Amino acid sequence: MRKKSSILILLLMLIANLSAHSFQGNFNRASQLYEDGKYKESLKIYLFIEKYIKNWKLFYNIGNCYYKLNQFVEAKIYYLRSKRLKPFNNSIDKNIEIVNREFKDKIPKPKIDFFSKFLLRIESILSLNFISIILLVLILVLNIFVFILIKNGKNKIVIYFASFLFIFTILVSFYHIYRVGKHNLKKSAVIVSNNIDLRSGPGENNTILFKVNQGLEVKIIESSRNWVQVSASSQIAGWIREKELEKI
Amino acid sequence: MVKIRTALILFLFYKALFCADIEFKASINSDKIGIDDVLIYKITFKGIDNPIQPDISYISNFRVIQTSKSSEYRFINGRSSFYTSFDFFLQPLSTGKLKLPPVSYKYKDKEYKTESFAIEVAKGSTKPYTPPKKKSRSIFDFDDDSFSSPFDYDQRQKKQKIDIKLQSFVSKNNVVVGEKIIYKVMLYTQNRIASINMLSNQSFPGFWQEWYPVPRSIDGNVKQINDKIYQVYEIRKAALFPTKSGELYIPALKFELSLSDDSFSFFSSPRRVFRFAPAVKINVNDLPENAKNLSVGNFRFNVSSDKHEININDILTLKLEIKGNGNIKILDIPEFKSNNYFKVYPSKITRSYDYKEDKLTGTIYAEIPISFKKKGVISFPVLEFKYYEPLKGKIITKDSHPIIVKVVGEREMQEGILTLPRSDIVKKGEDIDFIKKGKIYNQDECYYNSTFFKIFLIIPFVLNILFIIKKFIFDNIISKNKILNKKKLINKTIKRLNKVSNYEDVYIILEGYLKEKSGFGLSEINVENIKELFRKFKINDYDTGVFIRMKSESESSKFSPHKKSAVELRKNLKLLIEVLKRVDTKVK
Repeated sequence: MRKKSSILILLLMLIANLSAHSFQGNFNRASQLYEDGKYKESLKIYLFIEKYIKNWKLFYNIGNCYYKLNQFVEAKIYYLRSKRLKPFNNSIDKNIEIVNREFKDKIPKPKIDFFSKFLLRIESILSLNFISIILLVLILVLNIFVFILIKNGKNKIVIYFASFLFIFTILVSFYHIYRVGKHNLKKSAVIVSNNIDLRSGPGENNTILFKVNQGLEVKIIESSRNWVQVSASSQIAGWIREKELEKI
Repeated sequence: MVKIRTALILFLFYKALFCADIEFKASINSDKIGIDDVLIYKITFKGIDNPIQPDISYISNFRVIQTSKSSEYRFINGRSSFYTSFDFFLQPLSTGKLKLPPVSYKYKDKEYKTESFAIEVAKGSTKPYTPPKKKSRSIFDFDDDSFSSPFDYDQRQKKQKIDIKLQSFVSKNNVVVGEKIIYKVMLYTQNRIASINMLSNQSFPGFWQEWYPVPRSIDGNVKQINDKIYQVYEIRKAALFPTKSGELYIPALKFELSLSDDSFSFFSSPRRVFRFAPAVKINVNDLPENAKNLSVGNFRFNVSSDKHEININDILTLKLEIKGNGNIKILDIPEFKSNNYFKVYPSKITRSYDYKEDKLTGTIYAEIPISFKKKGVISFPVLEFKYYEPLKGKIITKDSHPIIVKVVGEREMQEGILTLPRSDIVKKGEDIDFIKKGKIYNQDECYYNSTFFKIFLIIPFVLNILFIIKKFIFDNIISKNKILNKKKLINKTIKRLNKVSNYEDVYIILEGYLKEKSGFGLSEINVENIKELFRKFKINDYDTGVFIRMKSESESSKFSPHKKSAVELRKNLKLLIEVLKRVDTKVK
């Protein structure tokens, strides 16, 4: 019985390893095609990999392929997806700047306040998985301390250390919850069509407030049926049909 | 002189005021050509100042073998317009019906598009080139204005005599393939000229050409020829580079000249005359065999580096410069190749021209980004640039100075990060030319979603809770329950008795039991007290006797030399356990 299960585990590991290798191989092949100027072929492979793997490098390269094929909206979407996974990267920022030249609407991005920038910096340094592992380790260590405390009675050093650990674990837990929430929430999107009306409410009967064009990056505020409330800056906001935008 | 200059300035001013219309058109010289022929694809801009050469690199059916740019003024219905044309000399790549797709151009947020053309390409050539017939005549003979009607001519004769002449000049008549020739068209006139428009095609078969920009105003000289005073203007100039040997001809160029004579009313349309700049024959000799693939001219060559000490993975920019007198546009730069020590990235190449009096000098400036893979002192290979200098008639070799770079640092080569973070090169699409390589992994695969994470998070909580339950609920509440304690005591005693291997251990276990059960101190546990206790709880004499006997025997057995056998011990213990069970049910 034990032998059988060991073989099964080994087999699963082998399959997982092989599939990872095949994605890496395909990624390398697509990169080579890109360098040879075969952008369409390269894009096909990248998009195939994207079905299974979400990676900032992959998104970046897909964005490049779309740019080379003059599909600028798609290029911007993928650059922003890449930025979402890698918030601070000069190449991504540079390419977003380049692709933005192709769009009519040029709304300057609002300046990020110090605290948000600080949070973003932390996000770029500490991945969600890293935070998850830290949280797990903290909980395990805290448990050990609790055991020691209960078993051995009141030791002052142990109490202080356990208290500090407890507060720290609580803080990390809250940050973990924040990061998980952020990870699951798709808050930004890109307008995919030209000459789109931003309305005062969800529905065709509402007043047209602004006209926006493809390529504009917007923040999603809330959704109602097939309508989404978006804002492009502090002064430009309104409701738009969900199909007119692509979530990042 | 002053009058002509004033007229020209007025003309330019007039143009500047009225050239608001914008036009973007394309035309072809023929819709049926042979595969050996060259198609001239002309893109004309009207009313756009200094337009950039349209990008036609996406045209796949044709190969661009040459481009040229020209500008001119045109008067149409009394209004002047400034035209700029780009001539693309296209070579078809296959026979059949080929399509020239439309070309688009963005100007002031507006996109302009040309029409598309269908070209029929046959085998061979449909238009064999024939050199123009040589005319042997004096350059100061007047052309007849054969394009004007006899009536116009008579009218003009009455009003004013026209004395306008065009002449072609070349800097050299005997050259080698690739050597630069400066070609000029000079205007000799006794009349005042309002505008000049070149009607002939600017393309000369057998030459690669670079036209000088058309000046906005022309300064003239005065020359006396055959007792006549002429104003002399240089109206067109080009640098020509023969591409093949033999007798080549610069064809006669036809010009349309608008007169700006006093005898004409300001509001009437200006008089136009047509003149030809005569054809010129050039003898082109072959290059020496060992110089066939080399650039021709006179050049300076230099390679420098922006840094001499660098970290692994940092970018160093090698600056390569070729400057001189020759056809810079078709000159290839020496190639740097990646090796085990460094990686060479695509370079940014800038070609610029300097149009001087009778010289056309140019510069190729290449910025070659290089990153290093290994530590150490790396000496770049010396680059060699060879060219043929026609004046000296020999091949000149120029070597770059050796460049030594010290590569330091412990940083690993980041595989795949090909973007040049500190490159000075900034141009559209540059970063897009670099992709990200290296290992990829699924960033969407979050541990917090996995079963392992959940299990590892839950286990400590469960253990904690169980421990707390045990510590605070079981130990403090449940374990203090009398019924449970009673059961616990007898079970513990039986368990201990079952483990006994020496008979002398039995009395200790029994004393322990009695101590817990009755609350006696150890010193109080004796035969009298045991009897008293058992009597109190109505335990029969047999059980009391067995209990006391076993205890006493066990106590004294530690001094006895005769030990009980294992079978005997088991038998006694079995009896004792049965007695103890009965006692335990009665003793409260």
